[in-house]
Amino acid sequence: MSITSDILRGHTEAIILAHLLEQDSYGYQINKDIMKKTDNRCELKEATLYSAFRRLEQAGYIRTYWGDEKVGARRRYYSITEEGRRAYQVYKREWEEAKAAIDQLLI
Amino acid sequence: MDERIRKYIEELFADAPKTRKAMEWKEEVVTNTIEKYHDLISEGYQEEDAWQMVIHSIGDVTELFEELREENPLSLSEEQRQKRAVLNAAAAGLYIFAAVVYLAWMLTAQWLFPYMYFEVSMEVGLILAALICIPPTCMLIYAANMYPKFSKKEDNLVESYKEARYIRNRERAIKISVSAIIWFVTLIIYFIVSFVTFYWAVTWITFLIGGCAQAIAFLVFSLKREKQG
Repeated sequence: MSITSDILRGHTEAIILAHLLEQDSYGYQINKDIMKKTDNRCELKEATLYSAFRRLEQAGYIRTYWGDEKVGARRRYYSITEEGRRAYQVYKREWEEAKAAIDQLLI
Repeated sequence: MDERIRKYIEELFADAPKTRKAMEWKEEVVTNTIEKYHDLISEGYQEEDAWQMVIHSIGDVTELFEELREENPLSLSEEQRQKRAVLNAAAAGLYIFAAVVYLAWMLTAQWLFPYMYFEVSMEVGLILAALICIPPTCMLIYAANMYPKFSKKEDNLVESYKEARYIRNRERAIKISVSAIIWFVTLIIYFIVSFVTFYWAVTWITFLIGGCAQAIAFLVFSLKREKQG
Protein backbone atom coordinates (compact mmCIF):
# COMPACT_ATOMS: atom_id res chain seq x y z
CA MET A 1 0.00 0.00 0.00
CA SER A 2 2.72 2.46 0.93
CA ILE A 3 4.71 1.60 -2.20
CA THR A 4 1.61 2.11 -4.31
CA SER A 5 0.92 5.55 -2.88
CA ASP A 6 4.58 6.52 -3.12
CA ILE A 7 4.75 5.59 -6.78
CA LEU A 8 1.46 7.32 -7.45
CA ARG A 9 2.63 10.47 -5.74
CA GLY A 10 5.60 10.55 -8.09
CA HIS A 11 3.16 10.62 -10.98
CA THR A 12 0.63 13.09 -9.62
CA GLU A 13 1.24 15.58 -12.39
CA ALA A 14 0.86 13.02 -15.18
CA ILE A 15 -2.32 11.68 -13.56
CA ILE A 16 -3.79 15.18 -13.42
CA LEU A 17 -2.86 15.83 -17.06
CA ALA A 18 -4.49 12.52 -18.06
CA HIS A 19 -7.72 13.64 -16.39
CA LEU A 20 -7.66 17.01 -18.04
CA LEU A 21 -7.19 15.45 -21.49
CA GLU A 22 -10.84 14.43 -21.42
CA GLN A 23 -12.35 17.61 -20.04
CA ASP A 24 -11.73 20.63 -17.84
CA SER A 25 -12.09 19.80 -14.19
CA TYR A 26 -11.65 21.07 -10.64
CA GLY A 27 -9.67 19.75 -7.69
CA TYR A 28 -12.27 17.65 -5.93
CA GLN A 29 -13.62 16.20 -9.19
CA ILE A 30 -10.14 15.03 -10.19
CA ASN A 31 -9.63 13.50 -6.77
CA LYS A 32 -13.01 11.76 -6.94
CA ASP A 33 -12.12 10.28 -10.34
CA ILE A 34 -8.81 9.01 -9.00
CA MET A 35 -10.56 7.34 -6.08
CA LYS A 36 -13.16 5.78 -8.34
CA LYS A 37 -10.62 4.43 -10.80
CA THR A 38 -8.49 2.95 -8.04
CA ASP A 39 -11.42 1.56 -5.99
CA ASN A 40 -10.84 4.05 -3.17
CA ARG A 41 -7.28 2.87 -2.71
CA CYS A 42 -5.71 6.17 -3.64
CA GLU A 43 -6.56 9.68 -2.74
CA LEU A 44 -4.47 12.79 -3.20
CA LYS A 45 -4.19 15.17 -0.28
CA GLU A 46 -5.26 18.75 -0.93
CA ALA A 47 -1.69 19.92 -0.40
CA THR A 48 -0.28 17.38 -2.88
CA LEU A 49 -2.93 18.25 -5.42
CA TYR A 50 -2.34 21.96 -5.17
CA SER A 51 1.42 21.77 -5.34
CA ALA A 52 1.06 19.68 -8.51
CA PHE A 53 -1.35 22.24 -9.98
CA ARG A 54 1.14 24.96 -9.20
CA ARG A 55 4.03 23.21 -10.90
CA LEU A 56 1.90 22.40 -13.95
CA GLU A 57 0.75 25.99 -14.18
CA GLN A 58 4.28 27.33 -13.90
CA ALA A 59 5.38 24.97 -16.65
CA GLY A 60 2.53 26.25 -18.83
CA TYR A 61 0.90 22.83 -19.06
CA ILE A 62 -2.41 23.89 -17.57
CA ARG A 63 -4.51 27.02 -17.34
CA THR A 64 -6.96 27.92 -14.64
CA TYR A 65 -10.22 29.84 -14.51
CA TRP A 66 -13.09 30.34 -12.09
CA GLY A 67 -16.30 28.55 -12.92
CA ASP A 68 -19.57 30.44 -13.12
CA GLU A 69 -21.65 28.37 -10.72
CA LYS A 70 -25.01 30.00 -10.17
CA VAL A 71 -25.56 28.22 -6.86
CA GLY A 72 -23.06 27.35 -4.16
CA ALA A 73 -19.37 28.18 -3.98
CA ARG A 74 -17.40 29.00 -7.10
CA ARG A 75 -14.99 26.37 -8.29
CA ARG A 76 -11.59 26.81 -9.77
CA TYR A 77 -11.32 24.88 -13.02
CA TYR A 78 -8.20 23.65 -14.73
CA SER A 79 -7.72 22.97 -18.42
CA ILE A 80 -4.81 21.47 -20.32
CA THR A 81 -2.82 23.50 -22.85
CA GLU A 82 -1.28 22.34 -26.14
CA GLU A 83 2.09 22.24 -24.41
CA GLY A 84 0.53 20.13 -21.69
CA ARG A 85 -0.76 17.63 -24.23
CA ARG A 86 2.69 17.30 -25.78
CA ALA A 87 4.32 16.92 -22.36
CA TYR A 88 1.78 14.24 -21.50
CA GLN A 89 2.59 12.22 -24.63
CA VAL A 90 6.30 12.33 -23.84
CA TYR A 91 5.62 11.33 -20.26
CA LYS A 92 3.40 8.45 -21.29
CA ARG A 93 6.04 7.07 -23.66
CA GLU A 94 8.69 7.24 -20.97
CA TRP A 95 6.40 5.54 -18.50
CA GLU A 96 5.71 2.68 -20.93
CA GLU A 97 9.44 2.16 -21.27
CA ALA A 98 10.00 2.26 -17.52
CA LYS A 99 7.10 -0.12 -16.94
CA ALA A 100 8.46 -2.58 -19.46
CA ALA A 101 11.89 -2.42 -17.85
CA ILE A 102 10.55 -2.96 -14.34
CA ASP A 103 8.34 -5.81 -15.51
CA GLN A 104 11.45 -7.48 -16.90
CA LEU A 105 13.40 -6.93 -13.71
CA LEU A 106 10.74 -8.04 -11.23
CA ILE A 107 9.74 -11.51 -12.22
CA MET B 1 -20.70 21.94 9.74
CA ASP B 2 -19.70 23.99 6.69
CA GLU B 3 -18.76 26.79 9.06
CA ARG B 4 -16.73 24.43 11.23
CA ILE B 5 -14.78 23.26 8.18
CA ARG B 6 -14.23 26.82 7.00
CA LYS B 7 -13.08 27.89 10.44
CA TYR B 8 -10.69 24.97 10.71
CA ILE B 9 -9.11 25.79 7.33
CA GLU B 10 -8.93 29.51 8.17
CA GLU B 11 -6.88 28.55 11.22
CA LEU B 12 -4.73 26.22 9.16
CA PHE B 13 -3.98 29.12 6.82
CA ALA B 14 -3.32 31.63 9.58
CA ASP B 15 0.41 31.51 8.81
CA ALA B 16 -0.06 31.59 5.05
CA PRO B 17 1.45 34.56 3.20
CA LYS B 18 -1.15 37.23 2.58
CA THR B 19 -1.05 36.89 -1.16
CA ARG B 20 -3.74 36.49 -3.76
CA LYS B 21 -2.50 33.02 -4.68
CA ALA B 22 -2.61 31.78 -1.10
CA MET B 23 -6.08 33.25 -0.53
CA GLU B 24 -7.37 31.62 -3.70
CA TRP B 25 -5.88 28.32 -2.70
CA LYS B 26 -7.56 28.55 0.68
CA GLU B 27 -10.91 29.10 -1.01
CA GLU B 28 -10.22 26.10 -3.20
CA VAL B 29 -9.44 23.91 -0.20
CA VAL B 30 -12.60 25.11 1.59
CA THR B 31 -14.85 24.32 -1.40
CA ASN B 32 -13.25 20.94 -2.04
CA THR B 33 -13.41 19.92 1.60
CA ILE B 34 -17.02 20.99 2.10
CA GLU B 35 -18.04 19.18 -1.07
CA LYS B 36 -16.23 16.06 0.01
CA TYR B 37 -17.82 16.22 3.44
CA HIS B 38 -21.33 16.34 1.96
CA ASP B 39 -20.52 13.45 -0.36
CA LEU B 40 -19.37 11.37 2.61
CA ILE B 41 -22.52 12.20 4.57
CA SER B 42 -24.70 11.19 1.62
CA GLU B 43 -22.74 7.93 1.43
CA GLY B 44 -23.94 7.25 4.97
CA TYR B 45 -20.95 8.26 7.11
CA GLN B 46 -21.51 9.65 10.59
CA GLU B 47 -20.83 13.37 10.94
CA GLU B 48 -17.80 12.94 13.18
CA ASP B 49 -16.26 10.23 10.97
CA ALA B 50 -16.76 12.32 7.86
CA TRP B 51 -15.16 15.28 9.64
CA GLN B 52 -12.12 13.22 10.60
CA MET B 53 -11.78 11.96 7.03
CA VAL B 54 -11.97 15.34 5.35
CA ILE B 55 -9.57 16.93 7.83
CA HIS B 56 -7.14 14.09 7.26
CA SER B 57 -7.29 14.51 3.50
CA ILE B 58 -6.08 18.12 3.56
CA GLY B 59 -2.51 17.06 4.30
CA ASP B 60 0.45 19.24 5.17
CA VAL B 61 -0.13 22.73 3.85
CA THR B 62 2.67 24.53 5.69
CA GLU B 63 5.52 23.58 3.37
CA LEU B 64 3.70 25.13 0.44
CA PHE B 65 3.46 28.44 2.27
CA GLU B 66 7.20 28.90 1.86
CA GLU B 67 6.97 28.44 -1.90
CA LEU B 68 4.04 30.85 -2.07
CA ARG B 69 5.88 33.40 0.02
CA GLU B 70 8.57 33.68 -2.63
CA GLU B 71 6.27 34.93 -5.34
CA ASN B 72 4.16 37.65 -3.88
CA PRO B 73 2.56 39.44 -6.84
CA LEU B 74 1.41 42.50 -4.92
CA SER B 75 4.76 43.27 -3.37
CA LEU B 76 7.72 44.97 -4.97
CA SER B 77 10.61 43.27 -6.69
CA GLU B 78 13.97 43.20 -4.92
CA GLU B 79 15.30 45.95 -7.18
CA GLN B 80 12.31 48.20 -6.54
CA ARG B 81 12.50 47.56 -2.82
CA GLN B 82 16.12 48.67 -2.80
CA LYS B 83 15.33 51.75 -4.83
CA ARG B 84 12.54 52.56 -2.43
CA ALA B 85 14.82 52.12 0.58
CA VAL B 86 17.42 54.42 -0.99
CA LEU B 87 14.76 57.06 -1.73
CA ASN B 88 13.42 56.92 1.82
CA ALA B 89 16.87 57.10 3.34
CA ALA B 90 17.87 60.03 1.11
CA ALA B 91 14.64 61.84 1.97
CA ALA B 92 15.24 61.39 5.69
CA GLY B 93 18.79 62.64 5.21
CA LEU B 94 17.59 65.74 3.38
CA TYR B 95 15.09 66.53 6.15
CA ILE B 96 17.88 66.36 8.70
CA PHE B 97 20.02 68.49 6.40
CA ALA B 98 17.22 71.09 6.29
CA ALA B 99 17.09 71.20 10.07
CA VAL B 100 20.87 71.56 10.25
CA VAL B 101 20.83 74.37 7.69
CA TYR B 102 18.16 76.17 9.70
CA LEU B 103 20.11 75.90 12.95
CA ALA B 104 23.36 76.88 11.30
CA TRP B 105 21.67 79.88 9.72
CA MET B 106 20.18 80.99 13.02
CA LEU B 107 23.56 80.72 14.72
CA THR B 108 25.52 82.56 12.05
CA ALA B 109 23.02 85.04 10.54
CA GLN B 110 23.48 87.65 13.25
CA TRP B 111 27.16 87.56 12.69
CA LEU B 112 27.10 87.36 8.88
CA PHE B 113 24.41 90.01 8.37
CA PRO B 114 24.57 92.27 11.39
CA TYR B 115 22.14 94.81 9.89
CA MET B 116 19.31 92.31 9.34
CA TYR B 117 16.36 92.33 11.75
CA PHE B 118 16.18 89.21 13.89
CA GLU B 119 12.61 88.46 12.70
CA VAL B 120 13.64 88.74 9.08
CA SER B 121 16.63 86.47 9.50
CA MET B 122 14.42 83.91 11.24
CA GLU B 123 11.97 83.95 8.34
CA VAL B 124 14.74 83.65 5.79
CA GLY B 125 16.09 80.64 7.69
CA LEU B 126 12.63 79.04 7.69
CA ILE B 127 12.23 79.62 3.96
CA LEU B 128 15.65 78.12 3.27
CA ALA B 129 14.81 75.05 5.31
CA ALA B 130 11.38 74.75 3.67
CA LEU B 131 12.94 74.92 0.19
CA ILE B 132 15.33 72.12 1.09
CA CYS B 133 12.32 70.11 2.27
CA ILE B 134 10.70 70.11 -1.19
CA PRO B 135 12.87 67.44 -2.89
CA PRO B 136 12.60 64.89 -0.04
CA THR B 137 8.82 65.40 0.03
CA CYS B 138 8.64 64.68 -3.69
CA MET B 139 10.86 61.62 -3.20
CA LEU B 140 8.61 60.23 -0.48
CA ILE B 141 5.54 60.69 -2.64
CA TYR B 142 7.27 58.99 -5.56
CA ALA B 143 8.34 56.09 -3.33
CA ALA B 144 4.80 55.72 -2.01
CA ASN B 145 3.50 55.44 -5.56
CA MET B 146 5.91 52.73 -6.63
CA TYR B 147 3.46 49.95 -5.85
CA PRO B 148 2.36 48.21 -9.02
CA LYS B 149 -1.08 48.80 -10.40
CA PHE B 150 -3.60 46.31 -9.13
CA SER B 151 -4.07 43.79 -11.92
CA LYS B 152 -7.47 42.28 -12.34
CA LYS B 153 -7.16 38.54 -12.90
CA GLU B 154 -10.75 37.62 -13.66
CA ASP B 155 -13.59 39.69 -14.92
CA ASN B 156 -16.07 39.44 -12.11
CA LEU B 157 -17.73 41.59 -9.50
CA VAL B 158 -15.39 40.89 -6.60
CA GLU B 159 -12.30 41.65 -8.68
CA SER B 160 -13.84 44.81 -10.09
CA TYR B 161 -14.76 45.95 -6.62
CA LYS B 162 -11.25 45.24 -5.31
CA GLU B 163 -9.72 47.14 -8.20
CA ALA B 164 -12.05 50.10 -7.72
CA ARG B 165 -11.25 50.22 -4.02
CA TYR B 166 -7.54 50.02 -4.76
CA ILE B 167 -7.73 52.87 -7.28
CA ARG B 168 -9.78 54.98 -4.85
CA ASN B 169 -7.21 54.52 -2.09
CA ARG B 170 -4.39 55.37 -4.43
CA GLU B 171 -6.19 58.41 -5.73
CA ARG B 172 -6.90 59.66 -2.24
CA ALA B 173 -3.22 59.29 -1.32
CA ILE B 174 -2.18 61.26 -4.41
CA LYS B 175 -4.78 63.97 -3.73
CA ILE B 176 -3.50 64.44 -0.19
CA SER B 177 0.09 64.72 -1.42
CA VAL B 178 -0.88 67.21 -4.11
CA SER B 179 -2.74 69.42 -1.61
CA ALA B 180 0.19 69.25 0.78
CA ILE B 181 2.58 70.38 -1.93
CA ILE B 182 0.28 73.16 -3.15
CA TRP B 183 -0.17 74.64 0.34
CA PHE B 184 3.48 74.23 1.20
CA VAL B 185 4.54 76.08 -1.93
CA THR B 186 1.84 78.71 -1.35
CA LEU B 187 3.15 79.37 2.13
CA ILE B 188 6.71 79.73 0.88
CA ILE B 189 5.70 82.03 -1.96
CA TYR B 190 3.66 84.09 0.50
CA PHE B 191 6.66 84.67 2.74
CA ILE B 192 9.08 85.32 -0.09
CA VAL B 193 6.81 87.80 -1.84
CA SER B 194 5.90 89.48 1.44
CA PHE B 195 9.47 89.93 2.56
CA VAL B 196 10.58 91.16 -0.83
CA THR B 197 7.74 93.64 -1.32
CA PHE B 198 6.57 94.30 2.24
CA TYR B 199 3.02 94.65 0.91
CA TRP B 200 1.59 92.53 3.72
CA ALA B 201 -1.84 94.02 3.13
CA VAL B 202 -1.99 92.54 -0.37
CA THR B 203 0.15 89.42 -0.35
CA TRP B 204 -2.43 87.29 1.55
CA ILE B 205 -4.04 86.90 -1.88
CA THR B 206 -1.42 84.17 -2.43
CA PHE B 207 -3.61 81.90 -0.30
CA LEU B 208 -6.61 82.55 -2.55
CA ILE B 209 -4.46 81.59 -5.51
CA GLY B 210 -3.37 78.47 -3.63
CA GLY B 211 -7.01 77.56 -3.09
CA CYS B 212 -7.71 78.05 -6.79
CA ALA B 213 -4.70 75.88 -7.69
CA GLN B 214 -6.02 73.09 -5.48
CA ALA B 215 -9.50 73.33 -6.98
CA ILE B 216 -8.00 73.15 -10.48
CA ALA B 217 -5.84 70.16 -9.54
CA PHE B 218 -8.88 68.28 -8.19
CA LEU B 219 -10.89 69.20 -11.28
CA VAL B 220 -8.16 67.74 -13.49
CA PHE B 221 -8.31 64.60 -11.35
CA SER B 222 -12.03 64.09 -11.77
CA LEU B 223 -11.89 64.88 -15.50
CA LYS B 224 -9.18 62.27 -15.91
CA ARG B 225 -11.19 59.70 -14.00
CA GLU B 226 -14.28 60.38 -16.10
CA LYS B 227 -12.26 59.87 -19.24
CA GLN B 228 -10.97 56.54 -17.89
CA GLY B 229 -14.37 55.39 -16.70
